[in-house]
Amino acid sequence: MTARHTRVLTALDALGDGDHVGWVVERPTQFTEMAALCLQQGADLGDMQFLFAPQHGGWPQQLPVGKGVPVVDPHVAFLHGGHLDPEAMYAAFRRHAALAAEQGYRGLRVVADMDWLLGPRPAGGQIAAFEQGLDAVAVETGATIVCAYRRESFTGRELAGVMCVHPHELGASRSLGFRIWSSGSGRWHLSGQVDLRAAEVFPTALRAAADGRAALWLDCTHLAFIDMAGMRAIAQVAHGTGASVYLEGANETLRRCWKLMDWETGLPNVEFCA
Amino acid sequence: MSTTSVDLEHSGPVSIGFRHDALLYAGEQQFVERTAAFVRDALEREEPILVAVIEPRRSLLREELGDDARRVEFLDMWNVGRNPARIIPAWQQWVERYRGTGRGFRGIGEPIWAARSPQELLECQFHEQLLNTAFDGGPAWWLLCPYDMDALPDAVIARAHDTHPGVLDGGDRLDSASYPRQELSFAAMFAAPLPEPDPAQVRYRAGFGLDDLVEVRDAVAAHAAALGLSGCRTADLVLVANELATNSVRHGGGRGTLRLWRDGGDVVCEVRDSGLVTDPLIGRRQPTTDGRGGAGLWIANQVCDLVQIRSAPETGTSVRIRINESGA
Repeated sequence: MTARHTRVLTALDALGDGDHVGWVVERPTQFTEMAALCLQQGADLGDMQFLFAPQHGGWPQQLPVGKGVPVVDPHVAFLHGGHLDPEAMYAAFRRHAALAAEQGYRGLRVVADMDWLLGPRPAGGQIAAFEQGLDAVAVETGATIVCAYRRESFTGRELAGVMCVHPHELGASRSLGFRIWSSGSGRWHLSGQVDLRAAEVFPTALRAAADGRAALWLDCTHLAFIDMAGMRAIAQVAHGTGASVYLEGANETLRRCWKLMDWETGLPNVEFCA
Repeated sequence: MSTTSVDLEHSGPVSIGFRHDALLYAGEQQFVERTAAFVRDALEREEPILVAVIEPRRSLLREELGDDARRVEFLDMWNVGRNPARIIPAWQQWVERYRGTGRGFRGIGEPIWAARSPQELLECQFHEQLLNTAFDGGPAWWLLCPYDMDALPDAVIARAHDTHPGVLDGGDRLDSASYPRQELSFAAMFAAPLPEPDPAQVRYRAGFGLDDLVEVRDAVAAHAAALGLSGCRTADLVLVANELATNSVRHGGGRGTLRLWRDGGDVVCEVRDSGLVTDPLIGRRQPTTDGRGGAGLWIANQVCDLVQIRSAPETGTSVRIRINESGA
């Protein structure tokens, strides 16, 4: 897979392997029309495909696209009616990506009406953490995943928190200013501007990125601005987890502030890289 | 040179608490005589000593001390104390080295020199007052602050009496008759207004809230560059302006006003809001890696050439920073 770049989309065409799209849906008909086009493209490419949707959303069991696209409610099929369990969901993606390869499909494509989350109804922060982990799974499996959030089903705060952990975005949402996305194996990219708007979400996203890992790579090449609270969030992850943190492509201001805060001394597990 | 007119015998070693004295001198020769006597007295008592003064006085004292200079630590006050709010953290580090060791230790710090601008001088005097707040009640040590009577105006020397509990002037250490002064209390000094800029000189003025931070940063960057700051210093200004604006949104009523202008060689940025600062040492404590302590005003003090905080219940808070192309 080629290197992933963040993109703001105007349509769901020309999606590639490992693309992970956050989509704010304004009208029900918009979802129906654009999802159908996206699935048709997947059928033309020879992908194994699924439409995730809530059980009682009025969808048929199978959409007549290509060889047929099964409609699945993950809350029922993978979570057995229980709470959102990210690891169970990731396992389902991995299982089906492997199955797609075994059965001769080109890849796996999932278009998800995220109203299925209204069943388990996790808190906003949990949804964002789930999506961030799913982004790493998209890289790992090469699956193309479109996550459609209907504006009427989620709060503005939830939408903003979710969109900044998708590398690809479609539809307007209140921006938190930054984006974090995976390139696999504990490597994450940051872009945009980290300021007070991100005060709640950015530290959570960093903790999720570092979760359980001995090393965390943060590519800051496209990070245009980060405030002191954002820098402290990086310091706190390094302090709290003890993980080796590698800051790649950090600008001069970040490097200088790190030094002036004397975090070089206090956090020897943080290293700046070119 | 071995004679001295500083009566250290009478003053005695530090035994209880923090001792903060002004040392008056007239010209470089007296500076060297009087500070060298203080240093040698410390060395005889095996008390570590740190000297923070500007050149050429640092070199002159080194020369006078000869081999003894190797037992003394020196800091260039021009670097450490150009922004006087950076001096207390430097002393704090010195104190932490000897806290709990049971031994006395000393310092010589000269924050005020003749070339200080009026605004720097104000903040230096505030710093002198804050030293008492910062170190009273802590470990026993002795800080001597030299004042050059030949070079500094009488009013500055008088203020040295106001801000130091003791004064040495070639004889006995005397308790200062004018210390402490009510008008130099934290609340009074924070309430004293700063001079208003000429309205015609203000290049940018904007009210802001949470959703305006990007616009404020972009405007500050554009105007700073237009006012002649380099890319590096512009980045410093943008970072600090954002921190001040963030403080306004978080702690100052959710909104604030930012102004930007040039004053001589400085680019000045001021943020006002309706909040109230109650911590006299705000921005002067090193934040920790585990996330305790505010980092915004700390970094402002580290990268700016001067930071002036004024705050009162009636007027709210204004923080004014100065960035010079040659600073930081």
